Amino acid sequence: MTHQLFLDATLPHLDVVWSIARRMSADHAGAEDLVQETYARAWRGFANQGRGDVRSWLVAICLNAGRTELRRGQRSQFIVAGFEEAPEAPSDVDVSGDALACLDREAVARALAALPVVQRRAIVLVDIGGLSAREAAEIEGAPRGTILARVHRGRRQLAVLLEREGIHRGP
Amino acid sequence: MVHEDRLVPYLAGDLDVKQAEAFEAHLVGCDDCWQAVSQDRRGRALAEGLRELAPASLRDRVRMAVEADTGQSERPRRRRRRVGAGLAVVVLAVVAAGSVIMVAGDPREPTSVAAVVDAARQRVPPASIVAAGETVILERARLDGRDVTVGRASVAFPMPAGASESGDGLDAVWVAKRGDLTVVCLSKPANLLLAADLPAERLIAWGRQLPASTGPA
Repeated sequence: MTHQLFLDATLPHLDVVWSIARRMSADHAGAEDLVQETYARAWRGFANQGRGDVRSWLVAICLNAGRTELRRGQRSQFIVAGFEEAPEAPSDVDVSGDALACLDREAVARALAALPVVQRRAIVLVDIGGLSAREAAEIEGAPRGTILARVHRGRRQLAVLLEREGIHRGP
Repeated sequence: MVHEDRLVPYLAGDLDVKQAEAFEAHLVGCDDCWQAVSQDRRGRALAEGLRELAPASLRDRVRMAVEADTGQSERPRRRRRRVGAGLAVVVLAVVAAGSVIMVAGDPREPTSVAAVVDAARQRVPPASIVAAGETVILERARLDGRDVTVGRASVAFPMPAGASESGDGLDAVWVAKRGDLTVVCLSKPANLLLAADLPAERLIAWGRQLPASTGPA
């Protein structure tokens, strides 16, 4: 099994893994560690991966790696798998569009972190990770319909929470 | 009252055409379901806004780590913060000139060499690092429009696997390629390691002109 074969198969999904790792970590450094740990585990298990979907395989590894780190207590800021803390609010307020967008993102991240765990995980997998409900169901070990309901309820709560903060997006 | 039993399958696209049309007719007269659909779509857009592109440096970091790894399960799986559990990559946490930090290295790549290569990839600013117990002074310069990372050490940089000895018999010790980077080790005017996306000959000629003990700029 060559490194290149592995990288060709997995690197196209780096953005997905990164997006999920970001929601599992409170800072960039933690997310980068988690992504690297994910790829380390994936590389070790690549020979046994078979012909399954690589993206959902990587996502599942990322979630498991995040859980492991949480259990080890090496990072207390994990916010998906049993989070306790929300990301810190930005300290600087700039009036530029980029800064406002950043503030919006922080607010969305905080609202996401405030959702019940099962809803948050479903949203991370489906809306942020881009997995299908079926793929998320396999990872979560729950029926597809349950995942769809969790996603729906989570989205609604997200919209309500952010409406209170005056943040609107979408239709 | 929200009719989730039909609303959720409707949003998921699970209803057939007739069922979907019937539910849309229901939506017109059901404020709760209408609001639920609206909130679902807003919430989805908000959540999707959290998707992020991975930093470019992370792609290199992962690639380098995997390529350096033997892929064998017998490798110790202790966690190395910012280095990656069980993987062989050097990541520098240098944030300010003159700072001294510890660098963990690839067991197969000499640590000091890996440190300089990684600093070149991550465009680490001038700094002093400690690699395998040796202090390496990192400097940066521009040459032919390219960034050059210079590592200085009190002892010679070890020759890594895959490197070739310089054939000119002078002060170039060895040359290696690490991705796009050419890595050149010189013994004069000092123990130098140069890393840049430039031909080896150009780096060697340039490196020979560097001062023995100060920065290259």
